[in-house]
Amino acid sequence: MNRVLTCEEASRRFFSYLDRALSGAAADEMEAHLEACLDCCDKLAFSRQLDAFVKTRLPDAPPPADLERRIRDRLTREGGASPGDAPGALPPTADRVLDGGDQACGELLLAVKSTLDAMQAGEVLKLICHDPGARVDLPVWCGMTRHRLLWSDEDVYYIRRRTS
Amino acid sequence: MDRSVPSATHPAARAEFEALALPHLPHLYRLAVRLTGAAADAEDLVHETYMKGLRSFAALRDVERMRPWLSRILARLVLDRRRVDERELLVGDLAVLDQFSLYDLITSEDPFPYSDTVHQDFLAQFDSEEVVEALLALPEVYRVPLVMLYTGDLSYAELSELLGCPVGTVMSRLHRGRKLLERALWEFAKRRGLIRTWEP
Repeated sequence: MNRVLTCEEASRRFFSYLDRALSGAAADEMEAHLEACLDCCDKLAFSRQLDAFVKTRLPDAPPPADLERRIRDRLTREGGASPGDAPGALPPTADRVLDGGDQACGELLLAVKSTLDAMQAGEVLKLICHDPGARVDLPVWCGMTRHRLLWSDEDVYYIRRRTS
Repeated sequence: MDRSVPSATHPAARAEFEALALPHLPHLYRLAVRLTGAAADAEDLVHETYMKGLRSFAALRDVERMRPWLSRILARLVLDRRRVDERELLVGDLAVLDQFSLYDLITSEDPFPYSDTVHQDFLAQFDSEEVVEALLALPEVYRVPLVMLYTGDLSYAELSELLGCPVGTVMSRLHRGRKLLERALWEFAKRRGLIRTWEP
């Protein structure tokens, strides 16, 4: 049995109701109140109008034409080296390690695939392999398969398993 | 667990970040302008957001969530820029604010006696600049979640994570943010002489 709301209680929840943020029971209480109270229906309708009114008057300027280029330049210039950065700058730790040895591309990718398939979404694989072709093939393969190559250096690669 | 992960951002990761993150530039810029009110500040904020995003990119688990993730970085920068000052929270008596009703005031003052749509007519008096001015005057703890919500960025649960407070607090901040906005519009109307409220 739902509680009966007073008009004051109902009006405090108007915006949460409009934002669809009320849970089942709270939403039911609100709807029961609205069915019985015309005054609150009018006030709720005004709250909705007010929200729509504010939204349509918010500034909506497109970014300056060259902003994207300037951001790209800065990412290239400063993005790689970030000594002393916040802890968030560190890639996560590897959840599994695969030593691919000297396997060539085809074999290696099969081994990487089956290892990633056995891992959880979002986990990180550290791959060690000595085939120089991997430096070209792995980024391409990751791009195609939507796994993410987080980092690589010589013969070590960190790949995050895709989430879906 | 292997802990030997180096910290540099590989060019391949940067290229991937750019490909995934830069399409959200118009959205982030719009959000930044709404949060700062000034084009120059908005540009700085967007620059900082992308730099921080790239450095934390490896921590993003689901690239499908790139846009809310970047929006959250941007909002966090705004909130951190000005550590919430207790004085900012002084918005008068909160119990009085919670019950402030622009609807009731318009009804009782009736600024357009011959109109059947007095509430809509009241709102129609204001232009974008006045609304933006009223929004920018809100303390950040109210303004940031409200603008994020209006720009369609985050759910209540995500706002609660961003602000580091329970969902109940998000609800009351969004409620109070809107009440402050209602109060600001009423003050504008009074200053414009739209309302002739008798004051002792």
